[in-house]
Amino acid sequence: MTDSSACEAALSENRFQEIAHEIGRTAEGRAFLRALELRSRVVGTDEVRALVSGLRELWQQRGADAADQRTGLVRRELEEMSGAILQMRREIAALRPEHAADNRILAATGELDAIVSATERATSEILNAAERLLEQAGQVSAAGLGDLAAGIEAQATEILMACSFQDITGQRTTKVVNALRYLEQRVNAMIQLWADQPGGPGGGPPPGSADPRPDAHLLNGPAPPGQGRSQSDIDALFG
Amino acid sequence: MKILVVDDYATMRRIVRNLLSQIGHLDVEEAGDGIVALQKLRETQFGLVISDWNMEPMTGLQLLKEVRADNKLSGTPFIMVTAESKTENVVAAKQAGVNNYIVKPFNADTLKQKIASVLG
Repeated sequence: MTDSSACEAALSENRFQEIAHEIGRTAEGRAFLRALELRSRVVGTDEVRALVSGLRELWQQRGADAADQRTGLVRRELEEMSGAILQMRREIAALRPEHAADNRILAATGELDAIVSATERATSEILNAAERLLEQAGQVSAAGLGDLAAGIEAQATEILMACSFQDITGQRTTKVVNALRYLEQRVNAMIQLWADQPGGPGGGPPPGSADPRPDAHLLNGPAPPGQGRSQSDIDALFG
Repeated sequence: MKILVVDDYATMRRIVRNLLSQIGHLDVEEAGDGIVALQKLRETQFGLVISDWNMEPMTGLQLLKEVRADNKLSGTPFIMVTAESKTENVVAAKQAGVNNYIVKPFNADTLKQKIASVLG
């Protein structure tokens, strides 16, 4: 430490005030003190300004670099999304069949309807046969062959009950047909919307898709295997 | 005793009618949906209703509620025979006042037992 710096370090507040008081005794001394204060303030302000200015430039430079990176990333993502949407629009528009007969969904729906009709006819014929068997069982019983008649009746009843499969498969098939029809309506809606066809149905729900029945939320049809309640479970609920 | 069988599927009505015939119930009428069934119930006195659930325009559950809300019909025994086998369905039917519930596919013995149980 130098003598000068030692002196500055030793200058207490009281001593500073004494010196200032001594100097301020004369007009020239007071003018000196005012000039000294003014210079000190200017130097301090200039230093702070320069520091703030430097920090601002540094901050702006770093912010601009980061913003440029983020903006570029977002722009690239948006361009990729835009390209994907455009491609999807072209592909969906290309789904439009030239003729109704080419519509595979429509064809599948028709096939399922045909299956339901065919099984319905077959079931009806089986039922006719079972009912004839029951009638003949009655005749056999009247002829005094009670045991044989009971056996025939039991087997005919088994056939009758087996025919109820058509009710279950019919309900399952109807669910699939409805799902296909809904899918077809939505695809057609998108095609019309994006192929600039006039009179397109827009983004609303397809007509007739909402079930107006108050208990529609409970109409699920036959449950997939293992998901519904068994008859014994249901019996337990009835005590 | 007259029994009303309600199902939109004619084959199912035929099956149930045959089973009823085997256990001695020959006085059976049929209806293809809830609205027709309700009309028949208001015109003629029935001792038992055996109804499917999933029908249009009026479902079996709606029919059950109409029956229970009608002073003249409210005491009619009602069995639901349906493929709807979720707990929420059974609970809803029970809350609406169903006497018994048979899940499809069922066998002849189940139907006979439930009818005997309901008719006492």
